[in-house]
Amino acid sequence: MRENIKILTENCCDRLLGFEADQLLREEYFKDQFEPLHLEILNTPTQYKIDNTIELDPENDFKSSRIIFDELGNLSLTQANDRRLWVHLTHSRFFKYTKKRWNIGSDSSNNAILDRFHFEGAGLSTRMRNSISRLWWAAKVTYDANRTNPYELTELIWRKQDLFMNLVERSYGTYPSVIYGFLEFYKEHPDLNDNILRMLYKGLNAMGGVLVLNLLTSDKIKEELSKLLRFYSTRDT
Amino acid sequence: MFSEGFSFPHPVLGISDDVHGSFSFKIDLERNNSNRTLGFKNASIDVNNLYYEHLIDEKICEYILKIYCSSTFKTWIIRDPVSPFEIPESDIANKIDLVLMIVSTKSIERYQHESFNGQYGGEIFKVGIHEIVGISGKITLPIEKQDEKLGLGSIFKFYHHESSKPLYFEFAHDKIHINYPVTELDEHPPQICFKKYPWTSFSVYIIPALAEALRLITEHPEEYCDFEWFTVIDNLYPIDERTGEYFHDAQQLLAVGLPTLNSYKELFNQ
Repeated sequence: MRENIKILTENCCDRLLGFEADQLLREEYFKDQFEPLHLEILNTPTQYKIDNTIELDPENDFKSSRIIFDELGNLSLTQANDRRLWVHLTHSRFFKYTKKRWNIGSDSSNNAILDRFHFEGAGLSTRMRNSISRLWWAAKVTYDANRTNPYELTELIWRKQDLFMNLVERSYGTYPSVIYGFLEFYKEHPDLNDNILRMLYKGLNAMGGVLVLNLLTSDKIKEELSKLLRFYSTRDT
Repeated sequence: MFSEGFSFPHPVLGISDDVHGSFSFKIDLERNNSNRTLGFKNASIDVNNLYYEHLIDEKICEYILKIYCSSTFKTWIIRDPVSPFEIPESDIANKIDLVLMIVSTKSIERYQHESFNGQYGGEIFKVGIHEIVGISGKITLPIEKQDEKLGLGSIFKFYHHESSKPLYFEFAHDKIHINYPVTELDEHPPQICFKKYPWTSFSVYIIPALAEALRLITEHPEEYCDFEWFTVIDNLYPIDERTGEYFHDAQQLLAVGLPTLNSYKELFNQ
């Protein structure tokens, strides 16, 4: 059954951040369910619905990413920046998922709780660390309706955590042609090891200092990556 | 308006005195509430280096403005930043970063000029297409929150008063104040009602307030247009979509089906 998404109040989001100083509040993160009394819901409905029966798989980010984007793909970019939405989802509907996915327990650091349950900051990393928003944003930057399988690139980006982090947490992660080009290149070269991949991220980053990467097509990005790969392969041998 | 000075760092990246001269950039920025865009206009770029003037005039290079929003993962490349342009507000949040660049539109086989730093010894460089030959510092512009975001939730504030006074609304604030009576036992009905019977609560507290807000937007726009609730409602429900029947439009504005039927279902567990 689909139900309207509820969101927290801004005040509530702020209060939840007090877990670092408030031991009782902190302990809520180690229980099976986060005490709903701590969650102050906004008194107006949103226009978005989510199936209340869906389950995310802590062992499979791609599958979870696809489920979240199937449900919430219509969020606008501004709406997907609303911490009241993501913080509510991590503290209620997907609380257990978040705990399991990130092994949150009494020995977890405050930063781990902050990163995975909260949504603080205006940068890329915030969007890519909240346990649920990261699933949405990863699909958002890779979903391509023009493909036979629109989630083809989403699946690729989730193959390696390293790939995900390095592609989307750099500023070129916001350029569709770069993301598409890089992932297509990776698809054609699935055996690239982590060291080579890291050199390619760095090489592309350096290239972005001289070239306007946004002006390049994804095919051109692949071409440049091929050159970089040849260069690094030659240098290493 | 903001402005920024520049250097010509290529081909030795990071050294600001590679070339003698500089350029400056000015542009006005304004929020356009009628079509919910951020408008950039009155831009001017002054270059005080003859070589770069020549490259621009001959269309060997062009100005490119990169606008980047890290919150929405969105980047715009504006190829003619001197002409006015707009970007949708719905695609930005928190802040945007702007960088102006001079970029080659074609390969330059002999990139060399007397204004280049003497340390190059007259070296002739080669520049490829889309390469950056001039770049500004990053300008960061905070974007005030003015969007409706996920809905109407941000425009109401609840206040209570003694039980003898009825429910009433106040509109002369950024938020619509919903003033409700407490019970004789000092209980606060909204706190319990919204949790247990949200649809019924919307009908009691929210819809009448929205109906009155829509009337004020239509009949007294000059008096209320500066308040946050005005902008949010006006943006969410533009005038050309409204029927003019305020109570009807208030129900439509919730966009979640018919509140009275939802209320019936929750009260009688249908």
